[in-house]
Amino acid sequence: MKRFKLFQRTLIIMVVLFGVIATVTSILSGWTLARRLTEEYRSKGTAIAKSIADASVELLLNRDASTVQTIIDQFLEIEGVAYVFVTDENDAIISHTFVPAIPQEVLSLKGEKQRTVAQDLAIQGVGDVIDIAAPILVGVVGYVHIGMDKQIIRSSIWSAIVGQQSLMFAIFLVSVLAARFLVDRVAQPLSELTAYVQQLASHDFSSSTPVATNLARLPRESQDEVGELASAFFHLEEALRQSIQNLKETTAAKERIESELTIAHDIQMSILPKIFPPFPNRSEFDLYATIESAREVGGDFYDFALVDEDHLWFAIGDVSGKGVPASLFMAATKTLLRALAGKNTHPDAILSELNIELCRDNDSGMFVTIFHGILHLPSGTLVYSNGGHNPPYVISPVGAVTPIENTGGMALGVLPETRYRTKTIALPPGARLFLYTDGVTEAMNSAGALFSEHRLCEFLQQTHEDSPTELLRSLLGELKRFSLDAEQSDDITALALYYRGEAH
Amino acid sequence: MKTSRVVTTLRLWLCVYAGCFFIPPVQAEEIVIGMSAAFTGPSSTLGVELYRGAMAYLEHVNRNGGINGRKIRVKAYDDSYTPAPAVENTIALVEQDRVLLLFGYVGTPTVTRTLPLLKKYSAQHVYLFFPYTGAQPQREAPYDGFVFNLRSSYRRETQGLVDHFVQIGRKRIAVFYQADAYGRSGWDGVRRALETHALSIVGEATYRRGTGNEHSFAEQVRILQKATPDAIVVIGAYAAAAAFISAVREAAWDIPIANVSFVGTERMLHLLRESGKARGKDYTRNLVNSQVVPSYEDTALPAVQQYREYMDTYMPQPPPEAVEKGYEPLHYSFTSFEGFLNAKLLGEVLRRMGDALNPSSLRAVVEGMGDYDLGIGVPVAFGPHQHQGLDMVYYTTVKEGQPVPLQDWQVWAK
Repeated sequence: MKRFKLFQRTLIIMVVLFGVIATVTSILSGWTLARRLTEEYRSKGTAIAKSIADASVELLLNRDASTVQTIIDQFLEIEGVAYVFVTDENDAIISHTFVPAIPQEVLSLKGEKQRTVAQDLAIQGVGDVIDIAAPILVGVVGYVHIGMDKQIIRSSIWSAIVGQQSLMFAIFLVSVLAARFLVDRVAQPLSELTAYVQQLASHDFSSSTPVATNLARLPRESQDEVGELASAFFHLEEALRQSIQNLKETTAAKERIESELTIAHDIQMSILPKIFPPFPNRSEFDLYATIESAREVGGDFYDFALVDEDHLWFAIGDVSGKGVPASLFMAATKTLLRALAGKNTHPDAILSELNIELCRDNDSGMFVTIFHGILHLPSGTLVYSNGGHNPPYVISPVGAVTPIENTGGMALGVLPETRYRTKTIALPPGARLFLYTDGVTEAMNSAGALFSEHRLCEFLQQTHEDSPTELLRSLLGELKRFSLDAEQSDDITALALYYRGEAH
Repeated sequence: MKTSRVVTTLRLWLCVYAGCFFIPPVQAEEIVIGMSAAFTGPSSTLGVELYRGAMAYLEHVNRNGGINGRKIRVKAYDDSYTPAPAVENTIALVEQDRVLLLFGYVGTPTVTRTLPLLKKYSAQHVYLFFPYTGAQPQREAPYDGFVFNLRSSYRRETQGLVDHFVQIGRKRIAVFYQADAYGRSGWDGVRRALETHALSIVGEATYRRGTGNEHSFAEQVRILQKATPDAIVVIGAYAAAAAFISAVREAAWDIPIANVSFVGTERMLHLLRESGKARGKDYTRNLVNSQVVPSYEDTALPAVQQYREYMDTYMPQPPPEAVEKGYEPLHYSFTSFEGFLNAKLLGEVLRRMGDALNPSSLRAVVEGMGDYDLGIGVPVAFGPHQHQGLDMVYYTTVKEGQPVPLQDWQVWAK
């Protein structure tokens, strides 16, 4: 259809041009012919009139009308001669060729003695004529009148114009066909290209088969814009195929990694205790922990265990960096920590030993901050050690929020000779302990503001009566509200402990 | 001049030489005469009947030993009453057929165009005998020397008609004529005749040569009616004349209408009877016809007896061209009677030439004919300045559809 539109436009232009040319040439040749033919007819008529006039002198003097008639009849056979008549010196017509009768219009015609006279005349039943009057023997014998038919001039003009225009029309038709052919030659590749591009749009590039087309000849055949366009399209197709192939491979790799990461996440989560309440038969305390990884796998961890009947061990840690390296480091750290915590009851010794283990062959330069402690359940005495971690908050039964006193140790995995110390505080019954990683305080909203320790403290004051489960759930909600649609940048891990005191 | 004679001799030799081998040898005794006339077209009756009349006589001559032992053969070509073929036929007759003389041409426009050829062939002594036309050109200089006329001229015919009309008080004469040399000749005759009475033509209308019987002449009738004439002289051929007369009568106009001899009286009346029968009217009333030969009903004349006898005996056939077109011959007619008389006179001319059939002696033989009795009551005479054989004009009218001698003009007195 596009080809048709293109052709229609060409055709309209051609028709208009042809019309203009036909009109102009018709008018011009009609005008030229009319002038020429009229002149021609005039001179032809004059020649005939003169020749009859010369031939008739003796015949008229002999007063023989039928011989004059024989002569004028012969001239009537000449094309364009409408009538011939001869008058005598008294203007009486003595020979004529009129049928059915002499028209009134010619009766008043007068010749001149010295020259031939031509005048235009309209005669009923004959038509428009040029009457040419030639004197016979300077008019003494009479006059010869020749009527030259103007209708013949007109029909000659018309037939000439018709002939000319027929030729023009034939040329026009040939031009139209040629134009059609040329337009086709331009439009055919264009429409093929269009079809090709449409195919291109819906083509499945995941398969390696190229778009089916016979346009490969185009760049060779048309050394013009169309050819260039076609080869541009071929390059585009090739580039598209390449990039989609790449994309496909990348996507496949990513998918593979993602599925591996999902598995890793599951493994990582499985090494963290996730059954709450963890010790349903113990009423002296209530404990709840949560972890929200920023990515599939993270570097945060928490852990807890009853070391014996009276001692609860708990820990929180944060590996530097994120992702797979952090998660692997975290897994190693957590496993080691758990193992050490099972053998030793001194938190500082555990950290020291862990630090030495982590520093060994730590080429990746990773480190981890850990806070852990052992709570004597009957007394509420908490012995803890901090390896560079954010100090947890102690929330008194009345809601006073204070950070726990630091023990001054730095992060683990940096220097093997780092020394860790322990501190001891007494938790009164009804006190709460809140451990967290910096993912909580450094949670960011879209404006770039951090959740901050200040907000955390306020939150803890407001929720000091909540159970650990309620506290952590509402904290997560609060963080979500705070950061709104901003992407979570770091793992968020928190552990809340409610010390109820002596078993009842 | 010498060269041309040599060429002519050579040509003759070639001709004879070729003829000996390729053409059945022409009987040495045969006399070949050439004719060009209308055997087809709307005037064919004129040519065919003229031919048949002549053939009736020539057949008789040939069957009775020919003339001086030589048979006469007519080489006849059709010109369908058109000048150009007539000219071509004449050239063929003279140059190819090498006829002794030209005979029985029909029509003014054809004959007037042929006349210059006769002058051209004057060295070969080509003469035209008894053309079927009463026009002036062949009766006047410069062509009168090459033509021998038997029939009276149109001038005499028209003069006679006009004189009679004027005599009975019909002075306003209109002319309906063929727009050519024939019509003009008749028109000129009427004009001159009227001049002798100090009158002029009151109205005129024309028609084109070759117009058939089916054509309507209502326009011409209307034009003539305006002139309020007392009589109309028609210078035409039978087909157009019949159509015109029908149109006049259809206009409820019973004006006397006169035709001249060339019209072909019998065929015209035949057409008028036909169209009259178709409309239940009689179109043949108030018609006059001038004739240049006596009535073939006048059986007191020896030539009429002879004519009737030969026509009945030999029943001459029309030329092949006419037979082809389904031509129906007339029994007797003024035209065939004229053809018969032409042939009879020609036979006498050939007889008088004796054994030496030399064209150069033709003129002298004819001009040397004193009063010769053709058997029509008046003698025929030719002389050195007298190439007109007869001056008689006869008049016929119509009775019961047939042409009969007109006895009394007074029936149309005004």
